[in-house]
Amino acid sequence: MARGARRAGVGLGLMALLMAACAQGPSGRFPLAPAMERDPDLEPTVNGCHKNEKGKTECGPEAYVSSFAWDAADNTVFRPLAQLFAVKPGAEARDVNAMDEVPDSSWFENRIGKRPMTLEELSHGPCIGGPELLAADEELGIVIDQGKDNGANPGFRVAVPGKGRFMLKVDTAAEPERATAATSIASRFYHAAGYYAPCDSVVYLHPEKLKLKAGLTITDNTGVTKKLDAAKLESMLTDASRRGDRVRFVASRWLEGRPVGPYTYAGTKSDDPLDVVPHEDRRELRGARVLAAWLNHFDSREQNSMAVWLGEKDDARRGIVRHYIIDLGDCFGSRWDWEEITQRLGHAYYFDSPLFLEDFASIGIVQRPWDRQRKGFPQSLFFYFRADDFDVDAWRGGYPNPAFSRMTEHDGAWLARILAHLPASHIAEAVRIGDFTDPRQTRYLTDVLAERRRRVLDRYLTRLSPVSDVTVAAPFELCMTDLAVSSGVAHQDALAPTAVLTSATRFAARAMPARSGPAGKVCVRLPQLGGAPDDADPSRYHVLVVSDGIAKGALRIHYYERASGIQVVGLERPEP
Amino acid sequence: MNPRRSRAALAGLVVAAATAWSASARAGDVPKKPIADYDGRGGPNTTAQDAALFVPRAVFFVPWAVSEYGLRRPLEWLTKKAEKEKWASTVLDFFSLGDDKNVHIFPTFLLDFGLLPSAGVYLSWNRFLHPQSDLRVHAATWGPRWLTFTAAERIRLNGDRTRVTLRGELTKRQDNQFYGLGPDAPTSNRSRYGKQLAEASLTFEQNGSSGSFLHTSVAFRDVRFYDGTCCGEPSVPYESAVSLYPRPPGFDAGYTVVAPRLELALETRKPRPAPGSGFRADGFVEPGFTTDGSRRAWVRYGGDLGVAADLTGTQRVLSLTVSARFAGPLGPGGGAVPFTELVRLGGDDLMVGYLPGRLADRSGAALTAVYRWPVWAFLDGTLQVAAGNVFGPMLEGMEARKMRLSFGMGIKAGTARDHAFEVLVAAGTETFEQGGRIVSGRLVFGTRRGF
Repeated sequence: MARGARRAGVGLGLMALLMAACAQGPSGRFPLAPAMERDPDLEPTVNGCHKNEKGKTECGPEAYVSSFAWDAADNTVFRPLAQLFAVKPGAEARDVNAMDEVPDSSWFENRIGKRPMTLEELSHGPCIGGPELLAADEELGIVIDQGKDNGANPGFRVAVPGKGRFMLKVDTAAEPERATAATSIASRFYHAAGYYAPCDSVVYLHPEKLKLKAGLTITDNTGVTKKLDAAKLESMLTDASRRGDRVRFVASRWLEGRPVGPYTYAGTKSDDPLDVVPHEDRRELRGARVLAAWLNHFDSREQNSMAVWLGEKDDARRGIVRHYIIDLGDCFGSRWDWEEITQRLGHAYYFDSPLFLEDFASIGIVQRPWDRQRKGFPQSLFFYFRADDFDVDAWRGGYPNPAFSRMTEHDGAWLARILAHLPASHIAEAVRIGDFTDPRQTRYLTDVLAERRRRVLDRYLTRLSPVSDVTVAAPFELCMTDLAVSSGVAHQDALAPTAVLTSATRFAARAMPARSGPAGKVCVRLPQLGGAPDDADPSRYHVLVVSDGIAKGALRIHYYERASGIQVVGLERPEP
Repeated sequence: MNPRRSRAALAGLVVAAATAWSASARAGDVPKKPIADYDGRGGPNTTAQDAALFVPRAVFFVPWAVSEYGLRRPLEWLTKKAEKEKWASTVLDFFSLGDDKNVHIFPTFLLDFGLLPSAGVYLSWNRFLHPQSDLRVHAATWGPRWLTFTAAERIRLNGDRTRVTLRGELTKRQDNQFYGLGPDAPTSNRSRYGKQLAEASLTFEQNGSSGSFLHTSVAFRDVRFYDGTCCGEPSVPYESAVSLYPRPPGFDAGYTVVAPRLELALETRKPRPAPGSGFRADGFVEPGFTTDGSRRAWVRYGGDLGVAADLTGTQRVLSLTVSARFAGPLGPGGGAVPFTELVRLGGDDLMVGYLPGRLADRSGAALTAVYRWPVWAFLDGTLQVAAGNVFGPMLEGMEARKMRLSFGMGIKAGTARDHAFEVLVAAGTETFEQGGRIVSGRLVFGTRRGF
């Protein structure tokens, strides 16, 4: 861009920013206090005790049994109908702190969005702090002690002396290596982003070294229960992926604590006193839509979540409930018995009445992504999981998820800002964990995930302000990072930062010089304006509005000018 | 009770139910902690927009209460109970039998307005008696006036390319329609008759990789007619007695016939997901020789020539088909062809805007344009328009002004040939000469037997 044109652009941008700053004004003053970084739901509280179905006394919430059929039917038909008549318009998430972020909670823990993560930390991810099942562990004596109910992939639970319990699952013949790799890789991404995910890892074991406990059963999705005996075990492993004489499994470490069933994506759990924010209004659950879209986790329903009660050792009645996202084996494409459904995964609900009506009424004039579906490459294990047809706005899971449906621009942008902190090297490292036999699968998946991530960032970092990581660099200087530039979505040359300072008690708006540096760095020196002796006095409260010249929206930085320097107390990213 | 009181009582009842429900749901709750002030600004303020929501909420209160407490909550309770107690498993066990669940039974229904509806049972038994043999049975009824039973045993050879089918059918129904013969038979002639059919057939099918095939069969058919009626309409014997039209040929004595059949189709289109462009030509010939001593013989034959273009290469297929059907006595002593063996248009075949058998005579022709497009994984939308009619021997009297128009729109299953689901709304007109007004309407909803 010519220097003159760029200057003109900056001038116009500044003018727009001045107008915006004057017109909007502060939308409520933040108090002079640190932003909430820890949700009160992490403070253990006393819960009741009760007798479970087996007559055994246990403390904490009662287990919730999720209905496979009702969850699908309700979210596809009945809930949307009732919500329509309930006239419940969209609203912003409730659990957002002053920094436009989600505090650490029993649902989410800020990780890569808040601090750099090493490759080693990413690769161990959810497994940190506990054992992983290794091939060498079969010498310890692995005992199958429970069948796995429900789910697309066959499996069972094992007990390993000295290591604990693991759920072992195998791939189906139609999808060799895909599901076991998918859940291992995706759990790293979910963990890195901040979610509680299970420790899932690929492991190759000799099947003859698995000892089977007598009297076990296994129940499929239709509710049919069968014996899990030697013959059933053999048939389960017949189609499993193998390497030599070893069978490929994904070993999922048994979650710490007492499982209290899946959590719902709407409402709260009535017997958990700490569960107070309606789940559909939790930003981390809403924003998870973007992560699910990126990975095509279309099976993101309540049955693929798990809540566990973590009671205190010295008082079993006191504790918290931690919330996990589990069963990520559907990510990166999946093959169903019906090709027509396989082609639609990620693009349409299983039964998508709006698309059905649109397609019928438009007599097929509208072309759909699945009309021209093709595999990424002939040998691709990922079927129709591609990047070139990926549109994060249009992405759909298997059926509507109430939290995803209430996601706002702010929720999506929040998750995108976290993803912007995930370097390409980390994507490659996570895919390596999938341990594909064919290196072409590793390369393809890495490339597709990188491109899908770029599309997510391009979508969400160019509307609301992508400026983040605001720090006080000097007593009267604020520095921040433009994530659109640092993540490669926008070129450094496009960064043309402008800043306007507003002060309710001093002046309406004043342009401030803003400097840009490498890797999207933006710094603004602030004037020392002084004010009343009390640091919290309104005369010391100012708002700096920063635009990067890339996104349509600006960042509003709320701060107090204290005697010792400035203290940032709030960030807002208003819609343009 | 006056309407205002009724509404008040209803609202009160709903509120009481809602209160009771929420109270019971909270009975065992542990006291909740308050929601934290996450951003330190005291939580969201009530805006004018929030206040204004009271109006639509009040307006939609009753529909909301009904959908939430009259529909959603009871269904939730029912579904969860069913799942907990494994009703689905019980039902599946009931409808799916055999060690490897190779026997399936499920209900069918068909509603074709203008005819009696039917409800029935469909059974498929794969690997019946032999790994390569499949049994299909369908029984349906709507009381004693509508009974049908069909069974087919297929033996698959050479994969599924070659099949030998032994089929039997017993049907008795009295909602059959007759309007008279010829292109001008008016709708006001509609009358009903009873028909009893017993048929057995043996078919050899050689199917190609696309839709091409060669089918040969021989059928033994016994058909009897009787003075039956339905739907408050006069019977054929009555209407012919009052000279509305001549007695339909073959009505009084019925007939028993042996009918060999040869059917050939050549198709250049490949199965999905390949694009649907291509050509299709098919034809059949079916002579019939009575075995009841009446020494009658006739022949039926016809064919279709079609071209289809997949407009986008993604199953948006526009096809144009010209069809002709003929029926006539075989040889000089063949005698009259029974009216149910004549060319009959309407129903599932040609001219879908008319009920089955609405148009009948010695020959028939139609030009049909169909547009078909996918609307869901297993369903296609269909839009079709056809011009055609029945005529005298060898299309005698065929003129443009004698044509009728048929058009329809619907949804059809793209799979499951043996029990295809269909929704169709269609209409048919009188001849152009008569004014071309719509005189026939069809609404079809249900599953069709495809064997």
